[in-house]
Amino acid sequence: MSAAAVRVEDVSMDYETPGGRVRALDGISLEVSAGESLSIVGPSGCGKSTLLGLIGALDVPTAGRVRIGEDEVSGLGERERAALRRGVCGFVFQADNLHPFLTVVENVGFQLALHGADGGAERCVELLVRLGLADELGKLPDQLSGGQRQRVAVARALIHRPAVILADEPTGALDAGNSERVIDLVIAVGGEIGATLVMVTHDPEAAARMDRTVTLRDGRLTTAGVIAHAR
Amino acid sequence: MSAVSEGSLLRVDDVSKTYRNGALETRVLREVSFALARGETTSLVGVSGSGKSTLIAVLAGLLTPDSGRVDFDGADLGGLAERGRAALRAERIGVALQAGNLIPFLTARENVQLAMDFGGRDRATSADERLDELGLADRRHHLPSRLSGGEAQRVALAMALANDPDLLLADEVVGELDSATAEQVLDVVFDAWRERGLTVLLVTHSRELAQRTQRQLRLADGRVYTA
Repeated sequence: MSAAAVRVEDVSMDYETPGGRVRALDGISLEVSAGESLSIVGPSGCGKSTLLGLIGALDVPTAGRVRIGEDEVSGLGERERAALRRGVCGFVFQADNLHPFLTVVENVGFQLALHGADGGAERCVELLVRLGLADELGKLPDQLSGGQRQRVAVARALIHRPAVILADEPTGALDAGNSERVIDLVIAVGGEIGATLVMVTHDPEAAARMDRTVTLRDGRLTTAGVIAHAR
Repeated sequence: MSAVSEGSLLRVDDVSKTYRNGALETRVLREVSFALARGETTSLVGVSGSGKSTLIAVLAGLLTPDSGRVDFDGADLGGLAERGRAALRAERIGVALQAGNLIPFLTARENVQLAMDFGGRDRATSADERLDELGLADRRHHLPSRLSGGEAQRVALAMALANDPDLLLADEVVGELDSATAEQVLDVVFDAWRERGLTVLLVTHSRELAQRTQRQLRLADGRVYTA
């Protein structure tokens, strides 16, 4: 009964390279329901990150359509897409991309500041404490472990209660214990805010934590690769 | 060399920093002392691995030295809490790094806006105007991945200059750019110096580039010398 939060319709994506035109995605169609979690797996270079970038309105496809909720992303200009991303999307990448000169609280708080929201500090602190970072609030990224840094990145992705969380290899740089903790937190906090989660991963354990998995190979979805996970 | 200057904005006195990794000790900074005069441009030349980036981090209050002190406009950075140092960085010290520190999912404008949001100062200039000044008017809504190296570096400078800082610490900001693009980026730095009386420390490995500043310092073996 739930409405599609993300709809990808017959999407293809070409890149110009010095060696000529390369088709990164070829006729992809998929839907993710509101509140559902989906993992995208497949070998390196199969187009996973390209697909995630299209779903997150970071880019537009060469052909086909991408919708987030009611918005057709593929029809928007750069400026409109930026506004959509700010309001609707939360991103977690393999590299945490924390700003080295901002404290933990500030690195999370800027997401709210970009919305013009005042008084976000309390919300930031509350979420960071929830993510086990109570003792790190005033620290700079360099003073944190890799696992702690990635949890800060998770807080930054979730603080503005996005409708869609887009995660690209969020555990790629972490050991098993920290990976599990990051995935636990994304699922728990994402679930509380009712967010839809789309995650690209190489990690079979992380993929199995999602409601559903699709497999990409050479820019196409493999029919055998759709797995619904028992919960 | 003990630098004592009445008009100095930044003073570094006997600063030492040693990195320890197990039994291995690397003395990166050895009793470094110098001062930056208000409104002056200074270059700091050193080969890679000479401790330039460590020194920048100490000057920006990002790293605490083992001994010695750094005064910014009369205030001892070591005596400030992290929050105070963060406020100083946000409002009065602009730091621009080689690779920039652009957030990959934010546009050029959003990245500059982010820097502005952390400064408490009233600003006459908006993020868009700041980008326009740097010749990036048609790049406002581009993501970092869609910018050329020179454009990304100019956005990083726009961030460093976003809150009209008194001091700009520029760490190899043209290190990886071709000479024409490097020239464009340097123009941004020197224009800001001329127009706003900015104090500039330009860290570089290039002696040629260093000649463009009023004063030259050299960092070698953890010590700073007047070039």
